[in-house]
Amino acid sequence: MTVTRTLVLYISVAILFLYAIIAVFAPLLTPWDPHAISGTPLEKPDALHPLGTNDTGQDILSQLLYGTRITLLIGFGAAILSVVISTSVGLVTGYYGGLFDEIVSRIIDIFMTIPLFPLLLVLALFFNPSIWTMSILMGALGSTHGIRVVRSQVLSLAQSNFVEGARAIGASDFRIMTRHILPNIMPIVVVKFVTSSQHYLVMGVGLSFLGLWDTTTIDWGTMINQAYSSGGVALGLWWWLLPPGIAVVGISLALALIGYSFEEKFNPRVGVNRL
Amino acid sequence: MSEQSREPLVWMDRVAKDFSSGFLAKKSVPTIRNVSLEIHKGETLGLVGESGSGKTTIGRLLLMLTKPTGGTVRFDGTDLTHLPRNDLRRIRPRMQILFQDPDTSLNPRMNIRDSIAEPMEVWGIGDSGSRPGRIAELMEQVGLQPELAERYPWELSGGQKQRAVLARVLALGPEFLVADEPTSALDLSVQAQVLSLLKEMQQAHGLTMLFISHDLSVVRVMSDRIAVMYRGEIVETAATEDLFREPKHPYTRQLVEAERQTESEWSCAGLRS
Amino acid sequence: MSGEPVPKSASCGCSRNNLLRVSDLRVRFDTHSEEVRALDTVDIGLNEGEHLALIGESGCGKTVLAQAILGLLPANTRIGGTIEYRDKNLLAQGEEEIRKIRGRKIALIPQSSAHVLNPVETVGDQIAEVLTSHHILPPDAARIETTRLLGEMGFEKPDLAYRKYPHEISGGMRERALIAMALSADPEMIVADEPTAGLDVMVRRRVLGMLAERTRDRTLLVITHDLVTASALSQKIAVMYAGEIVEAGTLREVLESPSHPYTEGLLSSHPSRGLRPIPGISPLASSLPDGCRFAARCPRATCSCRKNHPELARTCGNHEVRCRCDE
Repeated sequence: MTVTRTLVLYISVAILFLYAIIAVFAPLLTPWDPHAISGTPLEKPDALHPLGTNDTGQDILSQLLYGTRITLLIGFGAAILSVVISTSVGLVTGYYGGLFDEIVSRIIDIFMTIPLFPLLLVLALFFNPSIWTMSILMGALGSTHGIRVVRSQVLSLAQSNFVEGARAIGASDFRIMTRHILPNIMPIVVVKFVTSSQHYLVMGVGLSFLGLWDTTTIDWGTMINQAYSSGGVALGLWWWLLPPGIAVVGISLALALIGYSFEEKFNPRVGVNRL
Repeated sequence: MSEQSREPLVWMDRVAKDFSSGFLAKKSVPTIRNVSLEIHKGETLGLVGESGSGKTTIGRLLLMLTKPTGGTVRFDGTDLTHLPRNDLRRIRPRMQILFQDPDTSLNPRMNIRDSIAEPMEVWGIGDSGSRPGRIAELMEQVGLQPELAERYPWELSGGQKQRAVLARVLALGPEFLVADEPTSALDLSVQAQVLSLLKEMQQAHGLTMLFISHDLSVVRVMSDRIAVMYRGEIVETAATEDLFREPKHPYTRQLVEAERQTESEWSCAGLRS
Repeated sequence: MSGEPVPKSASCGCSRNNLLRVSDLRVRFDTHSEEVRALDTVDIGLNEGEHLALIGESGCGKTVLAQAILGLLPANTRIGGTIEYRDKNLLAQGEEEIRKIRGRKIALIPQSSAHVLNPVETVGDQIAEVLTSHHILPPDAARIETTRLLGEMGFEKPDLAYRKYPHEISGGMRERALIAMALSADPEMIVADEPTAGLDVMVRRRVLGMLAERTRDRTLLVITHDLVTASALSQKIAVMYAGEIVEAGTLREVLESPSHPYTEGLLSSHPSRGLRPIPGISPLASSLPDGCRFAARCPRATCSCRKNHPELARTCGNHEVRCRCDE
């Protein structure tokens, strides 16, 4: 990788790390209890409230830092679930093929025609699930693409000589899948995880912005929602509107850049220049 | 050169193989029609033919890596064709394969030591104490420097990779080896090294082999008998020198003639030995 | 190819008809961890109409040489020496100039036909592209010319062949398509890189026959590790090892009385010559030994060989060897 690309990677990872630290240590970092009314409403940023207060007098900075937790948990949680499902289903269907593969592939085809976000909207409206249920649904329903990607990699790997060689020495299917195929698809899985996290994070913010789950929880989506509906735009309350938005963009960008440079790093063309 | 016992070790009777058209490749893979052959213990049968004649498929069928559409395959008296999956797996250590392309024959994420150790792990040969010694022994047998054990396949040359695969295969002490164009992708001098190694294995361990190649000059030095394949069928089988002296089938004659011409052409440049 | 003593070229060693002269060529690559010395002081001369075969195995630098001649080396390469084509130093030319020569005056038949052809374009279109991109013919005429050329290459139904995609034809056919591509602009010189790699014995004969015929009146540099290919196409041979030329001379001289131990070893490695392998492996271009680069594997190596790097010296006639074995 060139110097600039490496630099970009390091910065992105640092940003991600920053977010993670904030999420973990939020209670220690927030100057005020995010739920408590700690000041007069709609105060502009000052020494006491670096990002001002919202319409009920709650400190925005505290809310922002605290909200990192939920937002990240949902995003990464869904991504982990999605990756676990994609990898295991993709591995088994790609390796064994046959009727099982056919059936699963058709099911996936059907699900892929339904756009995820509207589906989640509908489900949320009808069943009013908790945040965690939403997160699980997001991860599960969104894993279809991942299954496809993993499966096609597994299909081509299963044909390769070294897999056939493993079969020839008498290795069991399980061993072949876990020792031979899985390590060789890990690069794809890692990249998918990073890009999925970005995807789900933004989706999570979007869902909470639309108020599709418990609106009393504090996360960036609800913050933007409140800012918006309280006339934040009209009143020019930039200190309320902008920070959560920038937070979303920040982590989204960091994840995108990491995914990008991983893709390049894991590119299987370990080009041995034959002279 | 080889001992002939009555019952052949490897036996193929009227085997046919069709490939269904649900394949990605546009190339029509030829069917194998009515192929019968036998290989006796300790002997090497050479299999020649042009690309696409089906020779590679024969190798895979003998090891039951693919199932035939018709006919039977026997190994040491056992019918492999209808053998249940688990029983088949248990026979596998006795029959192994060496592929053509050394670049894809090893798991890129396993170092050489682990690749060679794997067959031993699978079958519980030795234990963590005795395995390192066995691995070192095998590496020496195939001519791999001991410091290569920690390396990964992409750090090795084609010839070294092919040796590593051989070491891995030998770890099981197989009785039968299918060598599928093992040196076609290698340079001339490396080819000589790997072939000499195989010859040593033949002599030292009494290995029974099916040696597949499109290069007649290579098959000639490696085999006791030669079977000629043309478009999915075996058209002639004979002892090596008999085949060269008196080829009977027209296709065989073409091959032998082409080989003779090539030989004389660059021999004509003067070198005679 | 029939072995008759008909001189295939007007070669007399005089520089009057000198087409290509590579002098003291050195090519180095800088990777992030080490310096790769791909070529060291390579000298090659080709007169008009001559055929030279460059023999060597993987890692000896022969493909790098072909790339250097055609200006195809990557940007981070350090090149020293000169490559003169009709007295013009190719290494000093700009990309524009090189592009006019590449394909038009000097054509390349690259290695590994399967990977070199564009998988989403038909074979015919790719050949025709040579003609149109060099403004030799307009697109329609190019198509007609390509079809004609395919017919000459032995394709029975040239119209059909034109429309095929690379994966739809066999290895031998692909090689012939590449030859057609190289010949289409009627170049003065052809550089063929491993034209018979991966081909069956019978197919190889056909391809060699065709190539020999088509290059009869042209200058040819063929790069190969296959001795049969070399002897079918050329009268002069240069043997390369670890980035250097270790022996050079006419086909007869080199194959009949090889002077360098590597050449000898190579010849006796052949199955029909006794299958006596050369022990060891060739050194990596990033860690070349001082002294003779073949010494580690040489049966006749002495202490002096390992310390002192031998120069290329003339033995008799135009036969050159890089070895101290006579001392």
